[in-house]
Amino acid sequence: MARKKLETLSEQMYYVLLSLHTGPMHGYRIMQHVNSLTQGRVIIGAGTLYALLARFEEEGYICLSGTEEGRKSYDLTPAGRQALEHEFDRLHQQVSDGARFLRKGDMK
Amino acid sequence: MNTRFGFFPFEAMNYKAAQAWLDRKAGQGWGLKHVCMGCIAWFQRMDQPRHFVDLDIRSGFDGDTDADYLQLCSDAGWELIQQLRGMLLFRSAPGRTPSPIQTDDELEWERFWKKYRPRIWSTLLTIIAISSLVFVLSLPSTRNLTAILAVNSGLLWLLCLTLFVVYVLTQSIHSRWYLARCRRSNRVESPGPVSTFVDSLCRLHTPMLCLILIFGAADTVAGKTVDLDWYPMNGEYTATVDACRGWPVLMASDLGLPDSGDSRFLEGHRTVLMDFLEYREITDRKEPDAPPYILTTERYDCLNETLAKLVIAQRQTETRNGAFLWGELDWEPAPELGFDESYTCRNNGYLLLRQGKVVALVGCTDFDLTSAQGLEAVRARVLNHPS
Repeated sequence: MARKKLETLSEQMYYVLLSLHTGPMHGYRIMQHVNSLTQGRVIIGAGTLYALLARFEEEGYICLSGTEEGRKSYDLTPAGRQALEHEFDRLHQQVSDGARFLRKGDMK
Repeated sequence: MNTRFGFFPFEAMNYKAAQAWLDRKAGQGWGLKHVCMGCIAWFQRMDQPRHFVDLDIRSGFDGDTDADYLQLCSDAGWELIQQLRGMLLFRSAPGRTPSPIQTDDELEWERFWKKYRPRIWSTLLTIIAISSLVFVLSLPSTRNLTAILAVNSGLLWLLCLTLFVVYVLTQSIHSRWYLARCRRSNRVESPGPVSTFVDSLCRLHTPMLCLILIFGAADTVAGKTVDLDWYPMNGEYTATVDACRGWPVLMASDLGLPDSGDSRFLEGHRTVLMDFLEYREITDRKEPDAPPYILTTERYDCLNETLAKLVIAQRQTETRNGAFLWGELDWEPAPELGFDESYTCRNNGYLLLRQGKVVALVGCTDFDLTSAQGLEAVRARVLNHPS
């Protein structure tokens, strides 16, 4: 089922917000940034990114910060930063929980 | 050859089928150049082309797609070929191998579902509407199939109507099934070959409309074999009678009745299924205050006996239900008359006959057509006429 509200973030959502955490960017730069950040593991299509940016803007996670080379640039809002940190904590907790069972040796 | 053409029937709902088709073409080294006239895909040889078909849900009131979206696609290496029926057709820019435009199945499904969810309900309404239409068309008062079979444009209209009903029903049922399948998997699935067949039917509407117009025009010029309207007693009377005598119709003079020639009407059509003639004549009696004789001939020279059997059965039902200028005709079988099929009504004043592939409905008010004179006239003038 579709998410009603962005309570959790998908991997692509997470990396879009993470990219904007470094500073304002336009769409194509976000795509490139995510690609290099994840070493090509996460690829965001132009249509998907466009939809994500519209959704984040609607949720108040990002805002327009100006134009760069004729392209709209976006910046993270405090709400967006909080959502990113919340997701990071959630993922971190998941990894910790998993490690306790799956990587018992590593925990010692 | 560096150019190739293909049939591109796809509707926006089946954009995944369009994607699969373009992927196959790209695999053979063909890049889409343009889609002409809405359905002719023009391909050119290209070096490792890639295509992407996206739903166009970003159009504003002016029909233009959001410029930011197109800019983003362009930056990512996609060139917009064209907007078509709610789809955006992209091709990779030369020398680039961009990643797909949609990379999140869930987001893609969300917008697809938002756009096509109303189809779930419209399917039910469509089926109800078509059932009502079929019910109304099957009512005895509205049924007159032979009048349609006797005109080429009528035949084409019948074909179009049938295709339309097949299209609407198949499309409704298929889209309902497809949406349910996508909903189960929570993603936009490949719609399969049925969708291409349904979309192809939809693309036929323009050529069919042109054919109807052409056939309609051709009917008025070449389809009519004879067209003599009601002629009152005037200077053209003699010529009209002579013209009618050349056709296989029952005239007052054939029955030895007074040939006052008050008025007569003769019309004929040649269709792909039959030659059709209709004749009417009203002639006065000798007695001054007596009602006139009304003569009628409908003659169907069919393509084969099977069609003739269908026509006689159909005409029997239609005339019984009132699809006849001079009122309802309640037929009784009369095998003793010696034709392949024969029926009489109104004190033998009307006969409905089939001899081989010729069907005839002949009538003369207040005249016994089963008499020796009547039957002889019908045989010689209508059924066995050398025409």
